[in-house]
Amino acid sequence: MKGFFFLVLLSGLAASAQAVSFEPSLQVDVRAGHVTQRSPQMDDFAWTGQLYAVPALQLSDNGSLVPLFAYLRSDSDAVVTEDSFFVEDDTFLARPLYRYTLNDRWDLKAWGDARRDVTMENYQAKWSEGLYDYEEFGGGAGATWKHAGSSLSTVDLGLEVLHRAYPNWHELVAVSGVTQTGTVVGGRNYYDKDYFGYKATLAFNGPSQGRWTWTANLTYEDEDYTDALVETNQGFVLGDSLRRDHYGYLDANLNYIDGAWLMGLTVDVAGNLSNGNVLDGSQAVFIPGYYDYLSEQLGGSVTRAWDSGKGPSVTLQASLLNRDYNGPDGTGRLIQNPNLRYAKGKENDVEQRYHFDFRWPLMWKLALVGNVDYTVALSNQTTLGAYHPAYSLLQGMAGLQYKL
Amino acid sequence: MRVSPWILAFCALAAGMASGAVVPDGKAAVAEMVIGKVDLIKAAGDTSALAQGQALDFGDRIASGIDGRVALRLANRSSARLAPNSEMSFKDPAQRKGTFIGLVKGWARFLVGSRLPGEAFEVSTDNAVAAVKGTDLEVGIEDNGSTYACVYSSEHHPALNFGDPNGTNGINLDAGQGATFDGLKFNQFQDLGPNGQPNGDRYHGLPTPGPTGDQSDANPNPNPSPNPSPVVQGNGDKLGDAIQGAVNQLNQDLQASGNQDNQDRNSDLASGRVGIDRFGYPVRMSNNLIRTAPDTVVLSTLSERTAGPNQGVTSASLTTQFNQVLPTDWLDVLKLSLTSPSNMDSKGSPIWWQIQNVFTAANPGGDNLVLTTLYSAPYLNVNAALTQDYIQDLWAYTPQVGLPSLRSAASVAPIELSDHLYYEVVSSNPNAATGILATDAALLANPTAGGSASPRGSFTEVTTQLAGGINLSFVDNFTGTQSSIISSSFSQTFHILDGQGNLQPLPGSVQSQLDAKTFGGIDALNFIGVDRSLNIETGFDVSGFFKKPIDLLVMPEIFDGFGGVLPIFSQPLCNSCG
Repeated sequence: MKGFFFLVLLSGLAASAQAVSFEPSLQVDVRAGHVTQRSPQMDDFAWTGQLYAVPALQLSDNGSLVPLFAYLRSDSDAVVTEDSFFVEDDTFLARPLYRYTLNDRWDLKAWGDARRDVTMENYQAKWSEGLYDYEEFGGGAGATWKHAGSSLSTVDLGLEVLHRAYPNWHELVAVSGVTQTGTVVGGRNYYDKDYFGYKATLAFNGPSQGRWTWTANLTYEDEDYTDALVETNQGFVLGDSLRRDHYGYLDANLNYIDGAWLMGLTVDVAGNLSNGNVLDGSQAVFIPGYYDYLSEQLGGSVTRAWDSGKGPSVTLQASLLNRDYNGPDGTGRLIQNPNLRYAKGKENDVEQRYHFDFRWPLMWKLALVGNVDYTVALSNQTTLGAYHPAYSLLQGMAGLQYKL
Repeated sequence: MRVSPWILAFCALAAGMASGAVVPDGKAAVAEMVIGKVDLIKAAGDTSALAQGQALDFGDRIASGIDGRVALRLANRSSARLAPNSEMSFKDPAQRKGTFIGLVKGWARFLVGSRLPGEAFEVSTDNAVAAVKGTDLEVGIEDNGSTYACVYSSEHHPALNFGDPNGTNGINLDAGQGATFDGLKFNQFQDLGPNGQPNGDRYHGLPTPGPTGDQSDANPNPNPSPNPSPVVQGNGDKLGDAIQGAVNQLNQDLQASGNQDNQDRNSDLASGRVGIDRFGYPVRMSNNLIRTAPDTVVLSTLSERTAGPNQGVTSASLTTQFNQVLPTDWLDVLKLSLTSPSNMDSKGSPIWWQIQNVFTAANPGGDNLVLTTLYSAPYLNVNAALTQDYIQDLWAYTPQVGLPSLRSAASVAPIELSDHLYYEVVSSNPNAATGILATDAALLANPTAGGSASPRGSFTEVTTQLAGGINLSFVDNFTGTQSSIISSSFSQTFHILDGQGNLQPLPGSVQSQLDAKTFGGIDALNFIGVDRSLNIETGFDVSGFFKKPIDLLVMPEIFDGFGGVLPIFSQPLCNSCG
């Protein structure tokens, strides 16, 4: 936490220093509305807030400091679904970035990252004592390669090291005094969500071909857990491997602009490969590859903007996602039947998402904004306790946006 | 009237300020703003960096670098903006009146002011000419060499004549229309938007000439998202690009990490690591099965709350000791019943069976409940069914962790009445003490050995202290309703152990209360039939004893292991068995 405030202070001091030029950017977006959920039934008020502030400084012809501060908040009382189980989520983020233009071809950059995420699973929970509260500190460096064609295209590479800690999450078996034969679990396997992350990002911003453009963002993260013993078919065994996840995410977009119309096609692929397993003690079933999954999402969108973009704009979007919990060599998350006995198949989820949003500019850099989202999630997995893999969610919100 | 020259000078200055830089006579343009690298190439071939405010001659060319942009003031109140990596030339009008621009490569946008009759404004490329009548237009050369032209706004009709340089092939365009031309054919499109081309920020950072406004913010978000995405934009140049780049990078990170975080939470929910208890408090749960010794397996469940009346850790565990060392694949052994063929040796006797169970439960207040059950060896009952019997069933409660040995009444030191409960059942069945295997011919011949109707014989019940009873309840976490109360069917007698260690009868009022609160044996934990679609919360409510209830939230299947799913844990234990 001290590091978080240090970075904030550092950024603030830098922003107050004498500079060649100063360019503040600010966006505030506040929305409120209603959320209706089916299976289980839930109706409630919901609101979101976002604030982005970037007091950027051009320090020299080639160097600029871009301290980015963000506060993101979501609040909804729809409790027990996989997406909104966490009713209140507040993210504080500070990311000071220094960018240096080496030449026409290359930009170099380095950044620090401090993030604190506070979640409340429901309104009964205490502030800053949420199980999923975390603090993250990191830093990275990268480069941007620019290519001149008929339009500018860029390739952006970034490498980052981070540490994430969940102060309120514990693996309780460590405090139970129950130990494996010949081992002493002791203080190990206690903060079992903490990890070091080694992240690589690659972003392509392709050149325009007529009215076509494309972008592709690729993220890979190696998550090395610092305190999580891998659960084996013998339970937790000290001395065995610590958990390690390999997470990949690809987001590719193809856009076509015809006048005031913009049409987009999006492909998202996300996958996780972990050595983490689950030993379900109640049924003496060992499930290797429990945390492995691969999801593919195909989406399309249409945006219409009036009055040369200074007027209203609306967007319609639809997407279909398929997620398989398959691990290597036939492993993966098993289906559980309504009687909770395991079946042979693996969990598979299918989600349809429909999205509509609008923006209506008003005076003083204000705009009326709103969105309607409808999600239908289907799964071959049974509802397990608080886990509802199959549900439907309708959410409508409207609010104001200020953009400086 | 004579006008003061000072007034004339002021008016001239004001006019100049209103229209920006003035293009001197004989000059083609003035560079109003230069961003990044922009070269000026004179007709003779000399190249130098274009400076802000510099006037350009006819015949000059300007070429912008990859990060270069320039805003130009042209004659006749017109202006132009040149995109990065573009090149523009200024042709001498020679015999014609007007403005003649050559676009060698890249993109440029023009805002054309009013012209005198006969004045032309033309933008030409290698294969096309756009003869302008309108106000706001853009001309560019696409990657395939086609010339692109579009009209954003105009009060003229038509606004643009677009065609080949020879004038033999051309089309007219109005405001909101655009077309590409490859020298042979046109590709026309309607309802042109704010930028006409995807790369709407190619003039990013340049001043907005004229009344049509800056279009740099007009490009619709190419990645519309259900969540409002930050579209913080600088007003151009390197700093604006840096800001946009930082925001884009942040968005990419948030999108990627958000996806992973959601999956992490879903996994915790699906595997029963988190839940919500019946009071609405979030609970961290941990269910484990661990072999703690070669012949011992512990099934444990722990719950941790960060808020609520039961904040802290609550736990329960069942430690089972088997008759011999378990094999490496001990998980498979747990799935066997006494009568499973896989659990039979060559003589037809069970290979593995439990000889002792210790059930413990503790709450955050330090209360600790222990139930110890010792088993006989398997034997055939009167129905010739293979079964086990308990030879000792011992309940103990202590308000603090660290249970003293309470195996017999004699080992219990005098204690305060209100603090401890001690209950012990001891079987008097002589066979149960040693156990009789299924092949025991003597037992098969005389199943009622022990002198009673049951091979277990009669029980001796000794209660050393009392102040309440135990209810085992299962509560629907979502409705708050109590699903069932499990009570044992065997009878029991309670006494008060006085300070001298002597048993005293209970007062009548207390006895009547206890009649309604009978103990649940360990078999009561087998609650197959309870709605499994919900979390089941198990509360051990020992009125007057526990500082706090043991409020344990577990996945519904966890206690199945005590008597449901895992057959070896589900041997008949009640005294009515047999």
